[in-house]
Amino acid sequence: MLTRIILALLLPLILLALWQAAAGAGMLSPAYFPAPLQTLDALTTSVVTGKLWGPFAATAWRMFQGWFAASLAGVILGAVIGFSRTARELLQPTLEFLRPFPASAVIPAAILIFGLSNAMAVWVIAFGSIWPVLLSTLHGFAAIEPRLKEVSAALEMRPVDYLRKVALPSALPDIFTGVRISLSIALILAVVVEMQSAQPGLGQNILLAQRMYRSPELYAGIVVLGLFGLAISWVLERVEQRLLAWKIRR
Amino acid sequence: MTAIDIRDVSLEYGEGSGARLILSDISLTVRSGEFLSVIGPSGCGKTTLLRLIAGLVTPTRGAILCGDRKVDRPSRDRAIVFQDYGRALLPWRKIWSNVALPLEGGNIQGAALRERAIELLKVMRLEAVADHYPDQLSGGMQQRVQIARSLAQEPKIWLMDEPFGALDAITRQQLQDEVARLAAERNMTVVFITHDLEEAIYLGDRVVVLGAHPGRVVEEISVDLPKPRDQLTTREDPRFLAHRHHLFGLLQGH
Repeated sequence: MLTRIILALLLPLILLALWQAAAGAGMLSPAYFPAPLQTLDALTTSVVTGKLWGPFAATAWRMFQGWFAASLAGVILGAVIGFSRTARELLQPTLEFLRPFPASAVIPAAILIFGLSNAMAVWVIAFGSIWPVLLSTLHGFAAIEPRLKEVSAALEMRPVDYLRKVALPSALPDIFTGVRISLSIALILAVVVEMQSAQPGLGQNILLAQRMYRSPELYAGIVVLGLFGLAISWVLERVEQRLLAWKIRR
Repeated sequence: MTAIDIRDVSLEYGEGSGARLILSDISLTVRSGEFLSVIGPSGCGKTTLLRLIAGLVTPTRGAILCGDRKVDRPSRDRAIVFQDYGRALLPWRKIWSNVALPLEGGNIQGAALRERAIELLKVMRLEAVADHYPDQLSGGMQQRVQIARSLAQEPKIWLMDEPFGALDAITRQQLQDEVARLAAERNMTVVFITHDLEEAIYLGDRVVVLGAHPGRVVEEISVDLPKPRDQLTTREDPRFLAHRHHLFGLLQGH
């Protein structure tokens, strides 16, 4: 385990060391490529002074709201559509058409409708991140083993019990895949919407640092976002391992 | 007493000129406590007949009665054991929990639910794998789990759809004897679908032979062999061999 961690970190550390050496030797312009230690310095300063936490919390909370709304709506809609063949044939083509639509392109329209507000940002994030969870939930409910429907029928199971005991557990692996992809899209959109609409957050900080040529701060923001993305996907993986123990066991 | 009364049942798929006749004018009665084997070539609709009795399919013409009630939907009184055990078990539930499924929502709750499931697993000699998941078990064991689950339902009628078709010969013989014993002990009426002629005779009080295109009854014989039966002596009994000769000819179309 430890050797694996060391091996995994080896390449990034070597690259950072090379970068640091090149910057120290004056081979890189500090305006564009500040030395990694400078970035680390900017990062620790913003952590210590507490300057980081406000924007960080704003971005995380915004992302979470949008993602949560998207997941809730996506699972419910996906279940309804997945259950009914008619609903599926009616709605699926439209949904597939809407899916590749870049959510960042709706930001101007969202600003027009909702103004420069947090609600606007949450709407954009939810719109953009609903697709993976919606479509994979839909697939999960549509792909329930027909034999299990017959088993449930032979036991005269009530519809609510069928949903709880058969349909939901059966669709859960698909739902989880969707929820995970949606979360990473939600983070991307949280940052993009901040940059485009001047909402306070890490995205805006990065943009402002760039405009003021404070590149160590710019890179520090990117590092924080990267670590945050890593952390939430780690948490989701743990949750998935618990909920889907029967599937991930081997 | 009649347990299952099948009256002039026909089943068509499709409509108009594209309609295909799957089963044609099937009339059969199964006595209470009787073990009925149904055999026929592939495509004769024997599985469809079982699904009709189960209430998973409704006949185009005719009716099926169980007791004095017309079958129009599945019922807990009629347990089905499917051939594809791998799909019929809930992969996310442990073995005991799969067996407990029919018990849920009943009088037994909490820890007693697990205890009752374990009791049923003991009947099938599966208590050692109670906390395993289905895909950790061999095919024969998975089918035992499905049988244990069907027993949890406490059915009057046991509907078995080629339950041992995918199992190896030794496992198959063991399960044949277990099913025969359980059916007798619990006084269940059994409809047993198979494509294995010897299995049909070995288990059945009566064997019905279906013909194909469309599915129809071509022969019905009573099996006058003493019970309980024995894998060696029964299969060597001259009457067993005589039945086998007679039905073999029919299935070959002579």
